[in-house]
Amino acid sequence: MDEKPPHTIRRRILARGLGLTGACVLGIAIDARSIAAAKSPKAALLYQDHPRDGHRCGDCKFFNAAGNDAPTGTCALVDGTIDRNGWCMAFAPKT
Amino acid sequence: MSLGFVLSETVTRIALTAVAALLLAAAPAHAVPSFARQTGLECVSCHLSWPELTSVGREFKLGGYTLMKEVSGERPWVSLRTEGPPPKLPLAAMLQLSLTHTESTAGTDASDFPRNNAGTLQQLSLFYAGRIAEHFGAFAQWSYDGIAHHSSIDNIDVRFANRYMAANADIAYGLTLNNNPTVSDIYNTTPAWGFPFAASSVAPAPNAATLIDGGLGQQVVGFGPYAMFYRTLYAEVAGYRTADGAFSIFRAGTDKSTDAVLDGVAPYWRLALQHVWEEGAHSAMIGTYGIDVRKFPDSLDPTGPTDRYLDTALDAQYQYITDRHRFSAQLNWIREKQSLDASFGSGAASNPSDVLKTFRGKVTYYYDRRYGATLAYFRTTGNSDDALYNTGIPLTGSASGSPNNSGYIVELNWLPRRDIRLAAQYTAYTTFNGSSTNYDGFGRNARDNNTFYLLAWLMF
Repeated sequence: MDEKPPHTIRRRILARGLGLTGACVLGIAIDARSIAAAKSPKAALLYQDHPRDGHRCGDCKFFNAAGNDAPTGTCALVDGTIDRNGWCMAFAPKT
Repeated sequence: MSLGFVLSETVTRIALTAVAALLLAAAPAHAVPSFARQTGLECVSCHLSWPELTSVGREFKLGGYTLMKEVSGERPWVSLRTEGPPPKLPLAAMLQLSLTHTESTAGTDASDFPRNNAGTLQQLSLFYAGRIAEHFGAFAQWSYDGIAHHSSIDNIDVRFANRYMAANADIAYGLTLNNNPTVSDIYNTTPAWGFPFAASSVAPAPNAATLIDGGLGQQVVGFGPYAMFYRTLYAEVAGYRTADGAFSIFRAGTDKSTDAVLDGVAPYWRLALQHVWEEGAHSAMIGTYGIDVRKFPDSLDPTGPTDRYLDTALDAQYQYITDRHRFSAQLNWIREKQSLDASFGSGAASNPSDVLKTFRGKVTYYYDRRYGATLAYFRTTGNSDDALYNTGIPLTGSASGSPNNSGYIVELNWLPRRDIRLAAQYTAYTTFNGSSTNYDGFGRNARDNNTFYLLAWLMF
């Protein structure tokens, strides 16, 4: 059993909480310096190179075309080259 | 009138005004939680209807909450905007305002129904939820209980995650450090994330529940690996121990006089087989999980013999998700074998061993991701144990010493915005603490505990 007075225990918990918070902030500060996003592999979001129900990557807000009429581009969430006519489960129409 | 009560009333009034203002606002939702701000995804991408996860949500959790959209520009430290660079600090908040009406309070003490027929600030939570660094993320919640006027740690799940991909291999794997068995799970069948997702905190509840069914949450700390093989087989093992000493942050603010104190490490296991088909429209899962706990009956004197709780469970889930129609069904069976060496020896249990079985099932349908209905059935049965289940007083007593309870829940939901849920829930008991009539031996019937519950649930 812990027989330390309550205020000592509270201080100890507070110190650990501050320590954990500090570690998180440090991790974030280091992480924020790297520009690379943590993208998802294609397979994890069931990416396919053809549309589904009329939805296609070219109409998705995460898609960045390689050029105006380029058939491929990149995605803000999914790794690799993305087909303009592709689709994945993260599809979100441009507003 | 206490200061806490006055503060609660004031906060409730302010919050109700805020709800009205938000409902009247015609602009589209911008204020969504930290996961959405980090990924740019709508709530409904990861949730069938929050908090129930879709396949995308399960992948996000498997990835350790680290998925982050690639957007050029300086990342702000804090932001409420979904568009633009994600904030460095993944902070979010939650507010639950509710009203509870219990069918009958006749013959009971007024203190048993502290907020019956009264609006209340039920819970206010702050979250640190999202990516910490590459491969590291966290879901950490701190909650204020508006009934007890007390705040404490809530669910914590800190993760390391990675993925091994080769020509014929796809293994998402990681480590979880958490404070509630099943909080790390990715399905909505297990207790920590099972239905009901919110319920009255002031209505009467049956005496009996298995230990894994919320009995260890925010009292223990667990650590272990998990992996999803080929997007088909999910496996997780962990060891849980009392959250004391260096781990006391995982139960900060909780009541140490009632917190579970375990003897050694309790093994937890989880195995699930899932299949996703028709381009993600359908998904199904069948699985098993369990925990083997040795627990001291007196948390303030954790010495001598212990009680052993062996919980084993089977669960299954099906989801159908399209833009317009969303349907899901969950089933969960838990069997608990209680070997009560310590409690029987001290007279706290009438039998040296007991068995408790719980079944829960629910079906949910959402139209247009906005209007939803859920019908649920619950049942717990077991052998009678007077010392364990009968408090001997009105309302909470069980004249037969039986743990049996059963009933159903009907819930209607309306989401006027993606981050606001308005719910009406009715819980009807067919059996309560062992009987449908005169269950406590003082004339109270199971149906007297039927509860009507209104909830406004806001996420920021």
